[in-house]
Amino acid sequence: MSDKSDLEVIDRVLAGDIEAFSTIIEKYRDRVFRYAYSRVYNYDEALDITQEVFLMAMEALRSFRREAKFSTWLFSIMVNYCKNFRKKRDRFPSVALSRSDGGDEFEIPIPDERQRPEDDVITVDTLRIVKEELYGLPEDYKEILVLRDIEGLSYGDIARVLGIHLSNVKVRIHRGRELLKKRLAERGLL
Amino acid sequence: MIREHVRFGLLSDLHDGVMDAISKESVLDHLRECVECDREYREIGRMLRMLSGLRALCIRSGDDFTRATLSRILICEKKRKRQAYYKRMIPSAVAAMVIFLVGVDQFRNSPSGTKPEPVRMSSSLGSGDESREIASSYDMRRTISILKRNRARVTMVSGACIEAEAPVRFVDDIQRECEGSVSYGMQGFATAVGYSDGGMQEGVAPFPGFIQQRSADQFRTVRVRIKLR
Ligand SMILES: [Zn+2]
Repeated sequence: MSDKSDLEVIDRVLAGDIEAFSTIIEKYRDRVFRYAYSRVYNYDEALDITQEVFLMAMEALRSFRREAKFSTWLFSIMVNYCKNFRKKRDRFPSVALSRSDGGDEFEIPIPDERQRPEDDVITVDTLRIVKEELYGLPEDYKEILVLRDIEGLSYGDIARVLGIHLSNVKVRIHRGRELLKKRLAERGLL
Repeated sequence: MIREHVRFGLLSDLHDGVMDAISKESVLDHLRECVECDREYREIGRMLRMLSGLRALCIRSGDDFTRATLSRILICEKKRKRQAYYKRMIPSAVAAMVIFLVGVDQFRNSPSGTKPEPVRMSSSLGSGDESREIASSYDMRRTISILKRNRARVTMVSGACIEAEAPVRFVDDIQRECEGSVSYGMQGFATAVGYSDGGMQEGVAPFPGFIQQRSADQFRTVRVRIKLR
């Protein structure tokens, strides 16, 4: 669904067809979830955050100015919500009932064909290590690699979403990738 | 052709296609002749493929999630419409009240009337211990997790409910997170009942000055009882 069709859905929602918003949720839920999960590393919390982000987006929908893409606007809400969520959690760390600090056991559901040996040997185990190393990077690098290399945002969109300069985006991507590559090489993946 | 090895940043840019044509040409020339840089370039490519493999991480039951989120949105919208309605209605109600009071005042000041009493608004909320009752649509584990996240101290857990003491400033968050999160596949929604705030000053109406009043003594705790659905 292109941004044009996002806008069509939004027009319907604003005209009173609230249920049309489910198209937006369906389209973006996994992307928001993945980002949230990379920030809190806990399945349940990431799920809660994802839901809150859609609620906030719905609430603020009338203020969406259509100067930027809808996805960029939604991701800005997502980034800010996660930032505040983490701030609150870090300020008031609780005795871990869930393993929110050390990561949880959320597994990667890989389609069967990925496990076939002829498939460039990116196995579930490989991805598990990649996930571990990516999430172990400093926050700035991890965040930008999730947006760029997993979610495929353009440099310009990343700059808008994170509210940083384009040159800063480039530098962070370089440094993040370089560090991750070094760590993956140490784990024998490269 | 670039004589020195190509910097990592340029190889990364080449993968993303964010290079001007001249730089791209010279980097490609170098890669054709330098085994080391070519290997580095290919390794970056492999790393990017592995990273894109993490797109497989997704919500376990996506359709349920969409349904549950939409239910919450519909509930919030209903609430918002109701609030907007009251917002429209309150000024006219207040105006009517003022007219009525002025009328009474004038009547009392009339030669045959008695001396006017000051008009006081009394809080409809009772005094005593502060407590709030919330219905949670989550199971016990997640409800406790919400409480902990919001700095609450769990004091009692039973099969039917959980009691905790929470900083007053987090009570709204707890309520929103617990009751608003409709369980997957469920349409139900429970509203909070019986929030009594003993810290309220006499003569102050519970709304709309309520929030400002509360922020003044935000370090107090409130007893919260969460009923599990
Ligand atoms: Zn070279």
